[in-house]
Amino acid sequence: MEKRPCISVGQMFAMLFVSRMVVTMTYGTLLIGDSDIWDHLISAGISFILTFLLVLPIYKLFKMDNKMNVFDNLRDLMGKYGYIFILIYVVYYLVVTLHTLTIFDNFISNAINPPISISLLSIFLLLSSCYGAYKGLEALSRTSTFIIVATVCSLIFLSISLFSSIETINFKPLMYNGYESVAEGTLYMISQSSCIVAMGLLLPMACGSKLRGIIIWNIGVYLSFALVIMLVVGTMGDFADTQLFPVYTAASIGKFGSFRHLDSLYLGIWICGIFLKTSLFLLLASEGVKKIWGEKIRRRFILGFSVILSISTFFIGNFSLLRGTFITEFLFFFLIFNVVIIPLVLIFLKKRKLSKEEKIFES
Amino acid sequence: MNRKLILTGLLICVVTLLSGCSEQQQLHQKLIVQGVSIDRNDEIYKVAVQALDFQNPMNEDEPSIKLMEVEGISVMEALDNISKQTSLRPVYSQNLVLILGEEAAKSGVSNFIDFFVRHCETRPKVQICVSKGNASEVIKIKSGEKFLKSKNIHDLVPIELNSDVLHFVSNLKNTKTDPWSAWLEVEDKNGIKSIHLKGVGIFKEDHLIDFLEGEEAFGFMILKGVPNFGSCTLNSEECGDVTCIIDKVVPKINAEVQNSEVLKFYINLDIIASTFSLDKNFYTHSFESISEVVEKKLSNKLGNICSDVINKTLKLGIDVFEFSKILRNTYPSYFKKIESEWNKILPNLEYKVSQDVKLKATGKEPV
Repeated sequence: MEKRPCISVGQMFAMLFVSRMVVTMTYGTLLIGDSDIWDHLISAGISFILTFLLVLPIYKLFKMDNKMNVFDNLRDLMGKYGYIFILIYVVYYLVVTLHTLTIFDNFISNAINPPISISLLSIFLLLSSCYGAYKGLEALSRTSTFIIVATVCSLIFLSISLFSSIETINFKPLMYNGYESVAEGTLYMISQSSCIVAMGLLLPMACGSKLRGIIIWNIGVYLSFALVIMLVVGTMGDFADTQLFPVYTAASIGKFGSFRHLDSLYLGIWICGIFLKTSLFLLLASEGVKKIWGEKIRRRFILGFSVILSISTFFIGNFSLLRGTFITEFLFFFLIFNVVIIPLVLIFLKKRKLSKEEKIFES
Repeated sequence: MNRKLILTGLLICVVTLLSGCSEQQQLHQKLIVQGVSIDRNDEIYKVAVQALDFQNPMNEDEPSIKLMEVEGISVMEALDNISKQTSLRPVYSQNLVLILGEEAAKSGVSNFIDFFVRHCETRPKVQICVSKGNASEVIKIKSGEKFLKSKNIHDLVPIELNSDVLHFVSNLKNTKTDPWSAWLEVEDKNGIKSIHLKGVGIFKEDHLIDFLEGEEAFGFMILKGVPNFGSCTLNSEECGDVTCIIDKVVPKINAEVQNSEVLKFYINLDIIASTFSLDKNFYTHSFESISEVVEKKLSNKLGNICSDVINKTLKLGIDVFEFSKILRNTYPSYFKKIESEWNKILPNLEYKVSQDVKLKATGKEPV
């Protein structure tokens, strides 16, 4: 078996936490539509439990042989057919990268509207991500430790600055207009849990207690989601529904002593997170390519796909499909396929293989 | 070799695309908008913009204040016409105040507020005010030779009043509550103009309905938890004229539904007031002996003032005190049943105002 990079569990979950915070910070009407944000507090609770359940098949598969990742298992148990499923994973990682890039594009054009070309900004982001993916997992994990400190500090700072502006009258009864918003919120939160798919590859590369890491990561992710929902609804009330990116708007009204307009802080952290997420998912996609075609193609793939994505940034504005409710459902089913169906099939095949081996050994 | 090729490629990109700051807009090329007023005359919006002009500074330390008047069929069109008057690019992120003229506010704020909600540079904490007559008079007022800064106009509005775009739009978006805003007025005394926070403008949905001034405005401020808005003078035989200032007020509104039918609101005001002058026989009183009398009188007066202003808004069918939100939060299932009938229920709401006034004697004089 080839030599693999080794990172600590803390670094791995720091990367996944930052990748997830990108989703939390861009959470808003662009992706959830008319859904009631306040009801998503229940969605966060449900998603918290569901995430544990969704991690189980990947974790079980990893526990059966803690040196093999999903790609190794696919090749080992399915032979040549396994390559088809590896390609499906590669496509998933690329779709997530493209989706992240679309959110970046939408956010920049709607919330910032800079005088420079947005496509050019996306290209520079991709170039950096390409470089990040090229440098490998260890470099990315080291970067993530810096970014997570900044992310957590900014979240604490934002909470303190907005706390005095919370008006309890804005907290309406949960599920006042029925449970549709809860369902929509849960669907959205789970569909954005691409980190679980990433775990399929990263778990064998991490050293330390994975179970503890998963628990802390999941608590951190949904606690921060709940905190963000409370801050947004508490400070802005019905005004939040008029904003495409309410977390960004909330950051702009926060004040702490002489510090005001914390949206610039938000922007800095968020762009770091976007860089880390796109780098990580490009790297994971390239791992799949490496499994099928070898190391040489992997490097070309990173560069080649970055070029394709760079070109796509010129047309990304026309892909309304990538930011509508369709993409949420699509990502949800794609995720379920990758974290439940394939791992369960692999567990079944692995058990069958093990029992066969046992029988041969006994005979 | 490969690495060198990549590095060369990246270097070319950096050299050709990142061409330093030569294309960046400098501060003196921008028009930093500080205040905007909107008036409406004959279907035309007249917008006055007060901005900082760094291109032609008054002196080394201070930029000059530029005032521009533009007009258009929509506010957006009017604001866009700024570019016809100056080569500077307007920047709205530092805007502090939005003043609406009476006609513009009466014709419907929804017709133009979207720009201040949607535009990427505008911020939700911009103060929103109304003015009787033309709003441009407020923004054009001069202090000596210079225009009065928008910052000074902004500071006239108490923060506790929540007269900002955030609360205005929030109440507008909620179909059961109605917005309000501070009312600024220009007063001309012997040719000297000055601005006053006169009271409050109350809206029905997005239309300005009425202005509250004097005791009505005082009552409104108390119900919104705004202290130090004017003073309240009491008169009694025991202590003569006593002028009280509201130092702190915490209003609490609770809803009560009995037998799923009777709906009543209990408004409790926790007030701390102070007095600096007991104008009749001040040397004969001890504070302890008269404080109870003053507290009682003040309590009664404030109760009546608050009741009057609530009555007025309810009769107009306006929910500026967010009764619907309180009822929804306390009795969600009951509110859901009556939600569609809320506009009919509102004018006949039953309520009770109770107040707990504590008087502080302040000042250096022994009483």
